[in-house]
Amino acid sequence: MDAASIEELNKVRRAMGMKPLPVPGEAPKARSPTPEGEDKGSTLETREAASYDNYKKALEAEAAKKKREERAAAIKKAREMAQRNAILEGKGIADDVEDDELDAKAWLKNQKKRQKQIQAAKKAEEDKAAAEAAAAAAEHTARDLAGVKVAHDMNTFLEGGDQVLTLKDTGVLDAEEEGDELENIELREREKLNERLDLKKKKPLYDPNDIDETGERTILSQYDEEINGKKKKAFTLGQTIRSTATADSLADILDSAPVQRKGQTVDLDMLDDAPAPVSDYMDASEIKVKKPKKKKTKSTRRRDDDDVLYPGETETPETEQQMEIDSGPSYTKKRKTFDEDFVDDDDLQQSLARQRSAALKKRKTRPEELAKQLREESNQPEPEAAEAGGIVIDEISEFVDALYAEREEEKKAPKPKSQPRAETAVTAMEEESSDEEMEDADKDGQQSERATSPTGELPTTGVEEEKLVAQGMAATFALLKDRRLIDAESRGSELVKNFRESAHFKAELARLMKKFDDETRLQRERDRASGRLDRMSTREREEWQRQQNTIREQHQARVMEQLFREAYKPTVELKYVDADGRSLDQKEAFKELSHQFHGKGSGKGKTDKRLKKLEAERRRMAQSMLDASQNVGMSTAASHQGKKRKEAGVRLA
Amino acid sequence: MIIVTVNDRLGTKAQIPAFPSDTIKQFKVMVAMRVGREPHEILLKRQGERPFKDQLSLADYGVSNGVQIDLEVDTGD
Repeated sequence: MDAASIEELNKVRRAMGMKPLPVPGEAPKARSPTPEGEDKGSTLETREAASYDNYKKALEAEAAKKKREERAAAIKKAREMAQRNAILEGKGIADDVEDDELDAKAWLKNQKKRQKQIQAAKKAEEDKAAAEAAAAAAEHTARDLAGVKVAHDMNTFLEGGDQVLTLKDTGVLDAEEEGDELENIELREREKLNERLDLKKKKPLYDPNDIDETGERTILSQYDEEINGKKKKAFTLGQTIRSTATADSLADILDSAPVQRKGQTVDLDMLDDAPAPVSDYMDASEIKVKKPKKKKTKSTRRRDDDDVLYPGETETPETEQQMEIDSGPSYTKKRKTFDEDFVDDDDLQQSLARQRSAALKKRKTRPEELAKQLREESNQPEPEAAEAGGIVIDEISEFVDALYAEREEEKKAPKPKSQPRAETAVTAMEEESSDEEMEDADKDGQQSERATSPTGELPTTGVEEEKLVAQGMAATFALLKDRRLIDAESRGSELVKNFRESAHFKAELARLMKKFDDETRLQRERDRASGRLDRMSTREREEWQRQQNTIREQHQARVMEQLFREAYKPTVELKYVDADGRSLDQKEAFKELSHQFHGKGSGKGKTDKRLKKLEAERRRMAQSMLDASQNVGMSTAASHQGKKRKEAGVRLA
Repeated sequence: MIIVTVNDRLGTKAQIPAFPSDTIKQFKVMVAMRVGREPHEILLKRQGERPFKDQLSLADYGVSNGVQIDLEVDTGD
């Protein structure tokens, strides 16, 4: 804060009516403004004003103190300097030399002596150098180092190359005890690294495969190192090699009777020329995948034929070939098994095969043989169709096929209109059919057809053909019965009897009614004729007639009652019919009525299901027993047969 | 007299001599002179405390020699 800026500020402060700041350069103004009576520091302002002065004073005091100290230090330094100089006073070594010795005469006198001295010194130096040279010239031999330990395994030095060994870094006292040890720093580091790597490997404590052949096996040998400390691999220079392990490894290296020992590491790089260990797995390059031989029946047959053609060439397999000829080509399967059975003497078979192949080779190049062979083959009929393994036609399938064929014929020739004349029992149908026959345009064609299709006869298959609706009521009935669409045997006679009785009853009732009417009319005629009514007054007449009527009705009622009691047997049957005219059973009818009552039907799913069911029913009723196009009735026979034999096949006709 | 350092933390730092008895309003005039901003736009506060009120003095806020005060723009609210 310089004075100028404070002056500047003070101007502003004065303009604002504030107390001006004290300017550092100026002498403090007279303190007069502070009143005498007011003691110092009584108000905040005075204390504030005083504070700066106090601060200043403190600063000054500090500065003064610093200055004083400085001065004291300087004085002290000066005194010390003075002391030191005082010690150095007095006579020095150089001062001892007398002044007279330094003159030329003395110097010359002493020259000889000094020369001698110099020569002696030079000689001594030369001697020393010669001794050193001699020492250096003397070669270090192994004897010099004998007894010095080397802290490495012997094997590590077998790799060749120069190794620089240095004295091991040990404590002075330790070295006294153990003697000097030599080591190679690089090797030492490598060993340490190996150790660390070994520790990283998780070795199983117990390795069953690790069998010690020497038999030296301690219990829990894996802890030996921890208990006894590490075994140091070391040897002493100049000693004969005693450690067996080293000897063995040396022996290994020298290719003499290697004895493997546990825990002995052998550098395998040295064993390059040793044979590689045999792998348990075959090398991929060695594997040859055999292609599965395709069976060529034709070629084998050809070979067989060859064998037949030249029976003289191979003697031994003749019996077998003979067999083949006999069995013929259609029994290939059987022959194969026969072959397999026979293969019990492998050597014999091999030799035979060799002979056969040799014979084939010999023959291969002759073209006329080939031609002959071909001719032979073409002459032979090929019965391969039988072997093809398709559908097998036997009695049953033929039978079923015949059924089918008949049915087809029937369809082709729809003759029923004309033929029933001979056999149908229904009389009503006869006229109708004959009428239609008249209408038919090509009567001759029809008749010729009738002649060809022998409907009168029994079909050859032994199964009756289906009746047609057009043949008449009885035929229809029979048809329905065949298809089991109507219940044939139950309650027939009963129904008829009931029907007859009811008819009888109705007739009787009618007869009685008529009789009563007649009787009434007759009586009235008689009364009128007798004139009995004329004598009566109208009132009497009415009274009398009423009486007569009641008597008559009573009589009639009695008769009727008797009739009803005797003959009236009503059959009560509740029949429900849906919109399509199908008769419904109780359950269905209830459902229908319920739906009508509630005004809504089943859901879509149920409706669909019901419709599907109805459709199936309809189809079932329409199906013929002998229809081959669908799997119904007899037509499934062939397919069943096929399934049983596990043969695939489709019926084409 | 004390010397107060006013710092707006944006690069402007001014040292202003004042008396501890000066009110904040008066001190703001001094600051305005130095930083070039209207006195009513200046808001002074200690770091992390509420802004100083105009009616109080520097001494009331314990501002002594060498104290640093933060300078912010007073937007009126």
